[in-house]
Amino acid sequence: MSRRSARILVLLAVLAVVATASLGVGSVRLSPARILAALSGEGSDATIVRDLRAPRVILAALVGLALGAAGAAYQGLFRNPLADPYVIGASSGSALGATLVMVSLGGAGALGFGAVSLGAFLGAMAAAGLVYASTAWWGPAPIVTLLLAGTAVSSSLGAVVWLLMVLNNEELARIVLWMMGSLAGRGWATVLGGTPYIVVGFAGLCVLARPLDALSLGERQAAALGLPLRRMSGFVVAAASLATAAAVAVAGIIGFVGLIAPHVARAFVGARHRYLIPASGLAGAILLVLADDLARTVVAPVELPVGILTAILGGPFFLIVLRRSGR
Amino acid sequence: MSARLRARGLSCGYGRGLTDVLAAVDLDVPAGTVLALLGPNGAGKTTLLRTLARLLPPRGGTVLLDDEDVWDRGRSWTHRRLAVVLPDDPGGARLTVEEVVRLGRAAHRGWWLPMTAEDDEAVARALELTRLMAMRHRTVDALSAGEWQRVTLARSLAQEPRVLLLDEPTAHLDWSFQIEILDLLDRLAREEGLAVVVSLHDLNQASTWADRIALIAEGTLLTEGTPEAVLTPEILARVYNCPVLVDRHPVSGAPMVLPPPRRRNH
Repeated sequence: MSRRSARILVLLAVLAVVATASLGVGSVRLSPARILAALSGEGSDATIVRDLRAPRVILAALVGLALGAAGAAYQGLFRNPLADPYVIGASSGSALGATLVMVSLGGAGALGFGAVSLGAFLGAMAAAGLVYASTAWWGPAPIVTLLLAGTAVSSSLGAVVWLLMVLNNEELARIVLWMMGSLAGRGWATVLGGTPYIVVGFAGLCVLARPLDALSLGERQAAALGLPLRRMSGFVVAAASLATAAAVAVAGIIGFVGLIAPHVARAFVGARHRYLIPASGLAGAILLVLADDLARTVVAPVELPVGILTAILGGPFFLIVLRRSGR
Repeated sequence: MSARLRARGLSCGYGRGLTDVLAAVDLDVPAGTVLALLGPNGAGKTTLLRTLARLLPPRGGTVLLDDEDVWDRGRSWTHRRLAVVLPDDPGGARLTVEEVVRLGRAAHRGWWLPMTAEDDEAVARALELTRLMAMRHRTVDALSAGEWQRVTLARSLAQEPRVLLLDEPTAHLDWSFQIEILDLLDRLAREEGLAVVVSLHDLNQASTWADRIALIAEGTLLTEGTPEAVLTPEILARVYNCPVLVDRHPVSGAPMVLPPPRRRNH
């Protein structure tokens, strides 16, 4: 086994430890021994761990996996260390698509998750595709151009979401809470609903590792390698958008995980996407599980939406990367 | 295994522009020869190379590789036989030298098939030929412009092409590396039978290392022939619009182009 595969296994082990420990974090603190007892036993501990905390921790890991892998893919595709699903507007696109579905179905849980996910997916595809197409038209985009294009797309789409919320104020509270990005109160149904989309999106990005390596050298160099570039970048946008959309559909907008995770992963396994995509996914999962632990406890008994926490922590990180990449 | 690159009645240009950058280009590059493309800035050397490399669809005419139209045979067929070195910088890519060179095998393995021992050999050979073996684990964002130039050449050699196209491969290189690259191209043509097309700015490099020179000017291939036939004071004065002197290399006897003496104020 290569050194880098071993490091990915280390990340996986860290995730397992962090996730298990997180089952004990919350209003009722549980020791490792009580967690293990609760996983197999009966009683109130078992209810807390198995029905409340386990789905939430697993969901945090899945959403982190999706956002981390999508962030690595967007950074390769856009050749930009600051790209992530949030920055380039894919998250806002998902949010708009999902909100449109929620508003038009009037919160009918019956049609439920599939329709919201589909709306989120189409929204993410449209936003990421729009940003990619506009920067491609202008030629190789300087870092700042992409950020401005992403900001423009994000704020227009965000404004439409707010408009929809104002027009449908019976849904207002629910949508606001969801827009802030939160994992509170999610159960096994949400985990099962989101998993297939996240798995397909993540697997797709793993398979596209070689085209991503080629694209990270720039479109002209990638074309010179004899790869079908347009189709490949289309597949990358689709897979990354699917992962983003699933994450947004289950947890709302959680920014900066997709920005930070690839930078952490690159320090561990280098830039080759065959290793970088899985490592970024795992780093994102670890980050989000930890962030959600913080969100549950930092101002207990009140719970912070985890999206607010990642934004508070991620903003300074964004500025550091921006400063370093400016050199 | 010999290959021959030909262009017949080729017009090149971009998109739906009204005029061709170049028109009526006929070229013939047999295996084992080096053809230098010369011409003033903006004459269309890069456009012609991109069209020959099947990166830009021709606006008219055909590009033939072993008598087959590259647009009929398709992308991967072409890039298993033809490689192109373009002068782009690595952007922000953090891949290592070896990882970039390995990407040259994508033409053979597609976007998904795993690499084999055959690919490892081709990569090792490309690293040896360009003397990059010692720095194969360095990341490309930390390389000098000249080192990156050698990496892109190594990547194209890993493709194991029969035809090699290069756009100003000696730009940014210091004198000794320029000579090393040109010697390598010469060896690849002579010993491996590659057909090489290389655009150059330095007329004397073309005279020394090319078997034939194609002069691109005035929207077409103005003239093509041996260095002796193309590098004459009359032709060069017309194309570059300034007077030049042409002398002989003291050892090889190849034509050497010199600037006119500095004018002095009296």
